[in-house]
Amino acid sequence: MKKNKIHYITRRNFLKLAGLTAGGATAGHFLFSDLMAVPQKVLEKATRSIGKETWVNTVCGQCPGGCGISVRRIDGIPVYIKGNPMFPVNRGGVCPMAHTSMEVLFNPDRVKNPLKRLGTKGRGDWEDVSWEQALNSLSEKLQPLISKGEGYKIAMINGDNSPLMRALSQYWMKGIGSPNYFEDENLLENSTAVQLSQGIKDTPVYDLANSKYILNFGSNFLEEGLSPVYYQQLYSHLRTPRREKKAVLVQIDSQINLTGSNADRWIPIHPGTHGALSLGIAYILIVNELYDKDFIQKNTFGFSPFKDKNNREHMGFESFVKSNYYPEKVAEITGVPTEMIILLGKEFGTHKPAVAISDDASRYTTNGSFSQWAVYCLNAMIGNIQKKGGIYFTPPTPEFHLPELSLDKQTQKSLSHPKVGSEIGVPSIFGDVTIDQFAEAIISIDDDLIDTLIIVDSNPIFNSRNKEAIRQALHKIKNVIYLGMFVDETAKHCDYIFPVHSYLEKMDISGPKSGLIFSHIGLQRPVISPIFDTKQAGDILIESGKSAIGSQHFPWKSYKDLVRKRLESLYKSGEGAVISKSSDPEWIEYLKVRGWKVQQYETFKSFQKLLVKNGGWWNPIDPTRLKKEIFQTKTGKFEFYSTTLEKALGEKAINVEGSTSQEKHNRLLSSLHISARGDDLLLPHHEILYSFGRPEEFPLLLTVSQLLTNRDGKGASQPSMMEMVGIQIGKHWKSWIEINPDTAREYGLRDNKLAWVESSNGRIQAEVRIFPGIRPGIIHMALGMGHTSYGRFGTGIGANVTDLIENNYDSLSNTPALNGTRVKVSRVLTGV
Amino acid sequence: MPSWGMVIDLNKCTGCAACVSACRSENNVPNVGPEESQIGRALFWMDIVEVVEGEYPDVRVQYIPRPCFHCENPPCTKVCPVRSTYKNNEGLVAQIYHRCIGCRYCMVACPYTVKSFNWYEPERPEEFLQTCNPDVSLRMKGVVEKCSFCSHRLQHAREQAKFESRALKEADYQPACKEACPTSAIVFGDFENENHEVYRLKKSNRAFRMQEDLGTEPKVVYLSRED
Amino acid sequence: MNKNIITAIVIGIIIISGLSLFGLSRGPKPIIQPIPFSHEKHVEELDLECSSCHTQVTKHPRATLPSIKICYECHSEPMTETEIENTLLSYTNENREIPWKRVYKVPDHVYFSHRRHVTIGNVLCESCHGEMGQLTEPPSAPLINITMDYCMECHEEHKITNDCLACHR
Repeated sequence: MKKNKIHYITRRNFLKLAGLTAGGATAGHFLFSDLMAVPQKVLEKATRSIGKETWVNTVCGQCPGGCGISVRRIDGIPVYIKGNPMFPVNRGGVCPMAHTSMEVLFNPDRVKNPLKRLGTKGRGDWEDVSWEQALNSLSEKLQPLISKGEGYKIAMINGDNSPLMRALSQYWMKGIGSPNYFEDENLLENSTAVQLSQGIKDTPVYDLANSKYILNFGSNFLEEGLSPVYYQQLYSHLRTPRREKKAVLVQIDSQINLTGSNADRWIPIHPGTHGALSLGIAYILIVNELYDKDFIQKNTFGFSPFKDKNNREHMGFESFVKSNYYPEKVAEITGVPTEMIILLGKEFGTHKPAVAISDDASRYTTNGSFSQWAVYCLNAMIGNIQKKGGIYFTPPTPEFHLPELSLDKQTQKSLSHPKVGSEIGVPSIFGDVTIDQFAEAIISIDDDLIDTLIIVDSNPIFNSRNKEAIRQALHKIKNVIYLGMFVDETAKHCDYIFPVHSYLEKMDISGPKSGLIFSHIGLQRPVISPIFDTKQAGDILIESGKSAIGSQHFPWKSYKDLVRKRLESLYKSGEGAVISKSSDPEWIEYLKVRGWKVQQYETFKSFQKLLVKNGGWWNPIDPTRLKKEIFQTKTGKFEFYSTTLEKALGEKAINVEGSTSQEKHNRLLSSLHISARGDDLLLPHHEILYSFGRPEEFPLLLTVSQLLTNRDGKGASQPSMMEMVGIQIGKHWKSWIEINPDTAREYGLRDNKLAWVESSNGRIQAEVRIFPGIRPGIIHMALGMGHTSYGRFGTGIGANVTDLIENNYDSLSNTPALNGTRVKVSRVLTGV
Repeated sequence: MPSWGMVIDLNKCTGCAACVSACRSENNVPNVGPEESQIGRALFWMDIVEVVEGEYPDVRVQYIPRPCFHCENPPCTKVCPVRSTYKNNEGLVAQIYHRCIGCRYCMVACPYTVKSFNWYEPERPEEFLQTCNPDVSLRMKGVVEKCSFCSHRLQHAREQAKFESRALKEADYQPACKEACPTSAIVFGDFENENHEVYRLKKSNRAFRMQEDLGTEPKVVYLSRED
Repeated sequence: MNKNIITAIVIGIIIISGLSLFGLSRGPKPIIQPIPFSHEKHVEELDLECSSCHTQVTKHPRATLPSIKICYECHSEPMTETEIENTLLSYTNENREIPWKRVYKVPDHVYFSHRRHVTIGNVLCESCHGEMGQLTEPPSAPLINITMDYCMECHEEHKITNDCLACHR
């Protein structure tokens, strides 16, 4: 970063000389202390007054994981972060990103006050405005629309993962009379498989700590997902030496990622064929009778042949698998040898308790839902739903309701408008309208569909595969207001930037609603008063809601007040307890044992005081839930034959063009790129990956993952994260392309040299990393690099792989298909 | 006299690099930026070493955290002309920046390449200076630095124990990397004290030390992976 | 070869002596405090302890310069009619901190803790700060020049470790 070396070298040489001649007396030290020291101006900035140390508990906001942390402050300034040992998610551990939170807080490129666009959109010229002006301009936009009953012309994209903030945003949008509420892709739940079989939208929780055999279909749980540190904890438990046999972790993935490097066995698989492999394993379980007959008979539907109410015969899962997914065929699809399929099946059926998990590589593909469903059904086959070492579902947290909105007729009518984008492109079966469908609708329809768009903590232009559409939409919408911390790729194209607090400056509720074995709530609290003229996003919504919708609907002084109400509801429920350590300082023993005492609190005040001090609340009681709660299907059972999907497809097909219902049905399925028909469709099956690129032109497949040091690209604002972005493999401040040695040789690529990767979407350049831990024919890259606007540290570092990825979605859930784009590679020819 | 040492259980270590990040934050380790890290000038007190074994498809990958090993018989101290790096009587291999003349002999002598050189002033954006840890001095341009086992924490812990008129406990003195580790793979303590966990762990049949044949006797003991 | 070394040594000596002369002649700037506080009045006449005002000295690494609140505890009402007190009252009335200047400093790479010396080691304040209690005016420079030698001599005398890592960080 600094360049003036010449001056330095001469001085250093001189000092060496001085060292030789002075003979090393201490006198020398004192005489030359001026010359040898850290520059005075640096020291002054780094020096404190009294040096008073305080520790404050809060919850990390660097990713949705929500780890409890303790912040060390010197004279009120945060300097260091460690895990909060009491916090149930992370129990004192943290990931690399927690420590660089201060680089977000004090980032020199944060937006320091409200900004208003100057000149044309996207040019990046801004003028400073006061909060009063900024908020007035917002309510000036909102009020006329609401009074005309045109609230539907207001849209919101929300990426804030706080459950309370999500609830408030939805409430605000409802009050305004707008159905156009969109959520960032980061907030999507990994729930389609559960939905297909059980009819509930829940992310399964894997009781890894008690498993003996873990078949991992592409989940990179140590690095990605809702809460990597929670899974790091479970992994640690798994690896603690015990008397019994060591648990086995089998990683089924096309590349060795962080999770794969910690697995006992790596099964290289062709991308997008995880579903086929799990059906091959199901075949082995069936022919060897290794499945749980009792569970299947009592609790499942569609395993054996059955007749429906029209007396039509259905073959059921068992015969379907037996006739379609025999090992030889599965080996051909997946590239996994026949013997290995047989071995995996036998091991999975005999090692108890075993669990099959899926995420990431098997989820972010065009066939993700079907693949994940097939994997999920393996768990039902061995009957490990709600069993130790198997699958659980997060118990709900005590309910909290925002006040009932009494909407007038006009607002209700406005609310009943269809969501913008719902008629564009392919309808999703279970998913919501995507942000890029919304954008496509905006640019393809002439009317001013949307007048005002509010974006909260979301960067769709950077993360989307359809950047141009979103950029054009932002230019077309008259007022785009961005609530965020940086002038990122999206903010650059907005009209107003309302700067918000960093997580170290705000009060909020955190905690994913599912994915953990217990229910909990973390409390974020300010560890420093706001250093810039920023506001909390929640306060902006409450203030504007008061003026535009009516103060009776927003009976809170501030967002803090709302947080307090949420805590009150926890207190009143009488469930769970504030997290705590026992009076014994050796708290570790206590935490190892999950038993605990219900605590009594005199008043809400004392409950709140303790909660604020310790940082959270949890309810660690047995997560087992009633069968009727978790099996909310038509049959009331776990379904191998999905009546949920049957019903959903039927509903969606009605709106498809076509003369007969059969034709409608077929058109719908082909638009979703689903090839299966009839019974096959409603049973877990393998669908072929879909990509626009022709294999002859683009012979390789692209797979991607997130890094713990950067996640979806938010780490790029922090220089320390960029410096150690690929620390495990010695890559700093750059992107890289992982490729098998054979494939690299085929295309003439050399290690650590630049190469082009090109898809039908575009091309990018990055450094080659030749790595035997990846299947031939695959290119692997990390997401989140290559910002074009993200402050001085992140901008221009590496290449953005989403520039290559085709804009496809999973056929059922609208989960982005990040893996499986067809690409080609070539050497970068450098001038001689 | 205590003999401070570390045990890293590779069974539990996932290579997540939380230790690296914690170390950098605690010890004010500077960033050098894209160009300088490209020419190998990035500084890491705690680094991660990648080990790839085998050929496709039988590949095993392992990421091994690598702090300074605080050798019992350190090669680096012997070559220091100004006694800027030396081993103290508690087994900590110290690096006293204000004695260092930047000759970098020690960097060459260290077989584990744990030492880094400061090519630049400890400058960083003014805003970040206030979040430096005041317990660790900023290093000036032209000196060598390395992992100190967070010896500044020992200064504080020992004082606190004396202040409370009690003996130093195992939990009092723990380095930042250990504190951050989400899988508890890193264990730290006194190799001579049989009540400390490291005392037991270093005698494990999985225990090994890096390049033991060199005779440096590192005080960072690894526990190999079970297969 | 030989010549080169000799030249280097000669040049070295010249530069060093030149610089040391420069260093010595320059000297430290005299420290002027915002209020001509009399330690003598407080310590000798009123019999206050050092820790009455430097409150953290026994329990914290930093002794701390007194905050305005501490002054206010006694000077809530005027005690004398001196001009000095009037200046003080202008601070207390506005609840404004007095910008005291630190006289004794150790370099940033040295860890020095007051409680370690005062409470654990029973070292008298005067050992390092000199007879501050008898000064009627604030000192313009430290009464005792605290160098590494000064520290180490005392440590040696009292059989306290002189290991670099005990103080350097």
